[in-house]
Amino acid sequence: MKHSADLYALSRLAFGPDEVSADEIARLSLRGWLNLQLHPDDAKDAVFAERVENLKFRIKYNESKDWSAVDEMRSLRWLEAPIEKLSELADPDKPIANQEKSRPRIEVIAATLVRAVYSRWQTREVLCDFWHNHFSVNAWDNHVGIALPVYDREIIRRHALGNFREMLEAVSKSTAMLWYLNNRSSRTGAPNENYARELFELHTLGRDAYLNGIYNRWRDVPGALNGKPVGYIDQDVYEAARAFTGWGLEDGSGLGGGLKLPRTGRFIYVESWHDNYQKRILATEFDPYQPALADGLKVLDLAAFHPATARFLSKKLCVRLLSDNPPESLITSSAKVWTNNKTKPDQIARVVSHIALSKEFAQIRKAKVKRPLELVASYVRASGFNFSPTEGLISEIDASGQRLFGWPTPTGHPDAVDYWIGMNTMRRRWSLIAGLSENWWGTGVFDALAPLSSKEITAERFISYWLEQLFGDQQPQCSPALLHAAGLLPGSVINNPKQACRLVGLLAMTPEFQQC
Amino acid sequence: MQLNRREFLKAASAAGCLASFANISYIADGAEMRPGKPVLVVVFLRGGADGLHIVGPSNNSDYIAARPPELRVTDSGARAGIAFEQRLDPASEFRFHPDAAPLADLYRAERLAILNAIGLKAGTRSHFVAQDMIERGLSDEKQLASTESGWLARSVTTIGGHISAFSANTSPVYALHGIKNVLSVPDISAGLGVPWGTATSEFLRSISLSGSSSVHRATLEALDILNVVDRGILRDDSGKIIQYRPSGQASYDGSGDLMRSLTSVVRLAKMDVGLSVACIDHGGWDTHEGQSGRMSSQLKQLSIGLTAFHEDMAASNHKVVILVMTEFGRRLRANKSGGTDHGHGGCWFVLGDGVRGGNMYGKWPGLSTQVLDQGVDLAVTTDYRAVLTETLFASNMPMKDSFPAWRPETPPLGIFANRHQ
Repeated sequence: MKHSADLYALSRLAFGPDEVSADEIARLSLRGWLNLQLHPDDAKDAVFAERVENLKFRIKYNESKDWSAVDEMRSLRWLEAPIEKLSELADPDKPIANQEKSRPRIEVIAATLVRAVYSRWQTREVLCDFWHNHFSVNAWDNHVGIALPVYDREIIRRHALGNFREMLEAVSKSTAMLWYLNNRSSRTGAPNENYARELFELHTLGRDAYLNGIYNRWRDVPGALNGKPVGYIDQDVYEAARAFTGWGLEDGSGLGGGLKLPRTGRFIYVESWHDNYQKRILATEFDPYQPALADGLKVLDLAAFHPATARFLSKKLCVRLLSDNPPESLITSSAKVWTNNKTKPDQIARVVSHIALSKEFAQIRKAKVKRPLELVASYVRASGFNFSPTEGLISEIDASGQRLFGWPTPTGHPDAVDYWIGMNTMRRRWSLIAGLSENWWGTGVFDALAPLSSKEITAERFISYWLEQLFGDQQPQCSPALLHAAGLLPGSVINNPKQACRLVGLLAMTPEFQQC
Repeated sequence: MQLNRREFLKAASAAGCLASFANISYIADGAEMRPGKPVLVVVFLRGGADGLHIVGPSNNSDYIAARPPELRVTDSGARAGIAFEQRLDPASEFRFHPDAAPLADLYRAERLAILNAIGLKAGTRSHFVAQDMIERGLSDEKQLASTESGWLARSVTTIGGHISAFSANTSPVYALHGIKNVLSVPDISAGLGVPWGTATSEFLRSISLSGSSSVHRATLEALDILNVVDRGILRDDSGKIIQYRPSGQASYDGSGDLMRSLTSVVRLAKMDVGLSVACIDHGGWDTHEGQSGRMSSQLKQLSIGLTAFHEDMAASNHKVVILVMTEFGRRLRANKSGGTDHGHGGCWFVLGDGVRGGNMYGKWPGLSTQVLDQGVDLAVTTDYRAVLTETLFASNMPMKDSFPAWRPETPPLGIFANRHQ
């Protein structure tokens, strides 16, 4: 029987156990399995590659004066596309159906679901989800959505287990973030503060280090006079906004004198948009007239290497992997690992490893609940049916409170149990399980009788098999209640596929299957 | 000036602000629920709505100097604002944004009141800190960690078997944190049934009774409440849900996502499930960029939605008080992205039954640099809890523990004519 320690590890460091991962972790131990996971190799992810290659997704729209009607099952074509190619979808001079413009976003969502279920590199996917929420952008805005394949591929996935300072810079220069938090339109004189504020509050130091309610003047912030302020205030936001002026995109903006930037979507630094004068950010003086990009890069250094950032990110990772209220001891030790490895290329992997191999990680179980994506993926992985994502499934996940790549504010989805057990989400959890069990959305047929060879299988044996598949050696005591609810007498034979998949579905609706 | 609760009540009576304010023990000792009280609907404009672009002092020279015409309410041209009477600042001519015309009509009909230069006295310009403090009824960040309930949750009387509170979200907004049986769904129009019907309900109920985790409790609560509401939704003989038809002249067309939230409130009010408060979010107000067009569409949605909802409730004979709030206003000076950054003092609205509408309340601090907060933002001259207190009182809701850490510093605003009984 599968050990619950392994299953709980896989429910937090992976999207739940499947046959391969359960076997692998049992064989290699958590340490050995994790070591493999923290060194993912895309060339060795054949199952995912084949599935995404063969995946077709519906696209449908009516004809207009500029295009003819389309209704087809189409392969994914944007996942590997460069930004220049994707940006053609944003060209205001070309009439393009909105469904084509939202296609890059939909393809990334579809690929995300395939990866969650089938990628061999599960821990990286868990971290990609974490970073997509940490550096959240709303891809329902088409300008952002068009850039999402690059954001997902080059920024988030590339750095998910890498170095935070490098990742932060990649984010700051990304098409998606420059659109989303408006820095592309920030200009000297009256800069746009959106990015600078969220850089400190959400991306690096964190809101606990925002001390504006206490201090009006930068000198009053403890540590400031020694160049080591414990936090930041609005003046830092204002000045950082100045530092990032000139960081823009080739988005067709005018440069004056009739000149215009091309529309490639690429990052560009425009000197004439930059505020070159001296600044003071986090109690550090910036001399006037620095070389191109130097002001912004210096802000990224100050923010990425600040002690508050080490703590904020370490705590956030512990919250993701353990509990909403992780033990202080683990936050502190993780922050230490974070800081000691701040320039290492595998800084984040080291912190994740530290957390996952800690005694606290082993001790704390069932403190989190699966979010809808995790619920879906873990159910598919445990039941083992041949799964493909569809629009219907994505809509249901969306309606459950998890709009992938579409949280409306830059905080990303809340990582708090309370948010995920609201009444709407509870009800949608049940419909997600029911819909997957009965193939409501064309995601694949689940034959719950198939793994059981015998023709004359009793309800008790059937339930006991599936309890083990879903829960390993820590099963909820629910067999009698399930028989009762299904109107089955003890010893009844299960041979109706519809009844069989409903029985498994009900097991997956239990509170125990929601926890991780 | 610092008033204790008793002085506040005496001052309120003396000022005649709350005409039927005889029962002082009510407010001091908490109150029981009474029949005929209105539903209190709190609409939160998430992102920091730019009050200066919703109702602006059109002819004020500081205002004109700080913003290009498309980011302020102007007093001339094709897109001139809609002038209205107010006594807050006789020197300025305040106007509604042209796309808030339906709100201007409600103001003229004395159903809608404006509250200006209102907000958190604390200096935060963070959306998330500001929202957290407002929803908990605080103004001191240090109390955030130790305050685990929302201001509305502390004010609503929950009655067993009743659905006292509705949050049009996937999980309840923080203002309703800390009480049980809050219905939290974005929409009830398609019903709230449970897949596979009673087999699921029975099984999950029996399993959930055997555990004590938050998920077990949430399962039980959801099964109970969803079932009550689902049974209350009108269906035809074939079991199909009857499409919602608003009462009176109400039309929600053009109100965007607000339609499903607002019509869900009316449906619940009509179901008679004991609804006392409802919380609705309206997002999209964080206009750092492209504010001109975005403000226009945001205001259209909001004005159409509120007007339709107000009419729908009135025509179906349900009392309502609607409070429209936001976490802060925005910077007086525009940025070069055609937007405005986070500011301080904001603009709120109250409309509905018993509101002394057609007035702008508060204290207008002015817009010259010397009187701006930190030299950049509209100052907060009225603590937001002054409005919450009066609204709770007028809505006949107990408020003994609503704001334990707060004492009013200013006399009551007198937003309401009387108290609903």
